[in-house]
Amino acid sequence: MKPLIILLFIILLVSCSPTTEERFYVVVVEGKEKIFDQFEDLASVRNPIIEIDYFRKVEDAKERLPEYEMEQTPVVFIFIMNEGKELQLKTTDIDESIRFLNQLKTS
Amino acid sequence: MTVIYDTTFNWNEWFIILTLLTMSVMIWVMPKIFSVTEGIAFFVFGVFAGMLFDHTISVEPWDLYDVNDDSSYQVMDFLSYVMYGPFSYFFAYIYKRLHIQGFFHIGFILVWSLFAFLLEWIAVKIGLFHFDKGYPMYWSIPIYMTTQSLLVIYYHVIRIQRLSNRQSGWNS
Repeated sequence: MKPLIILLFIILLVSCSPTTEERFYVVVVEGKEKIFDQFEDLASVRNPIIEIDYFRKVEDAKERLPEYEMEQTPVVFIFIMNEGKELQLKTTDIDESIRFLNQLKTS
Repeated sequence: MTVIYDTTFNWNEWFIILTLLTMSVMIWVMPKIFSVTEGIAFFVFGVFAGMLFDHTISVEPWDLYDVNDDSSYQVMDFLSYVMYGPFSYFFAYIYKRLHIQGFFHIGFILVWSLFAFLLEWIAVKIGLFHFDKGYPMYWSIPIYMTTQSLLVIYYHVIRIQRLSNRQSGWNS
């Protein structure tokens, strides 16, 4: 009985420990063009984890990312999350950002 | 994916708080025609109906619309469901006061559905509902009519229960 409890405890510890999965954080700023549909299926809870925050207003997005310029919209920021967030791609070309995210999902 | 429509405390939040406060005060002030248990039952019906429909058609796989500032579930979303409570309470209240019978049921439900539709239109304008994902607003009309018809049935079930309790000498 005792080894079983220890084994269960180890399984619990392993399952609760941080994973090494790659995590990407995406910020999409809509501006005047409605591009919501194009990003809907790109968020993923599988590896790599892709979290997408889709902002309707530039002012709200600037609150989230004050260190980045958003002079032109729509604009997409793709970050890889390590200890902080590291910018991988900033683009106003929506197709380019979608290609990039699709590559992440298939790689 | 989280869609962020707005990040400030503005009209949609005030609408929920003011509606909830005003209507709760009205419930308190108006003459009581239901027992406490009945009153709670009619109040909870509205909260349940709002939650049932929002948590069915505004989440995956349909995900037809969003509520309040962003597509995630927030405290304000919960309060917006509580806000439906006074409406179902006053539906039953006015229904009882007006002694609605026969064909007048159709008119009563139509008027309430139009009122609900008007409130929904205001809610869309102030950013409480976001129908950008393709929800046609007129779909709400059959939902209101069905829910209100169910509330009428619910009212009568409670009434029959009350009468049978009284006949058997059990008072709540």
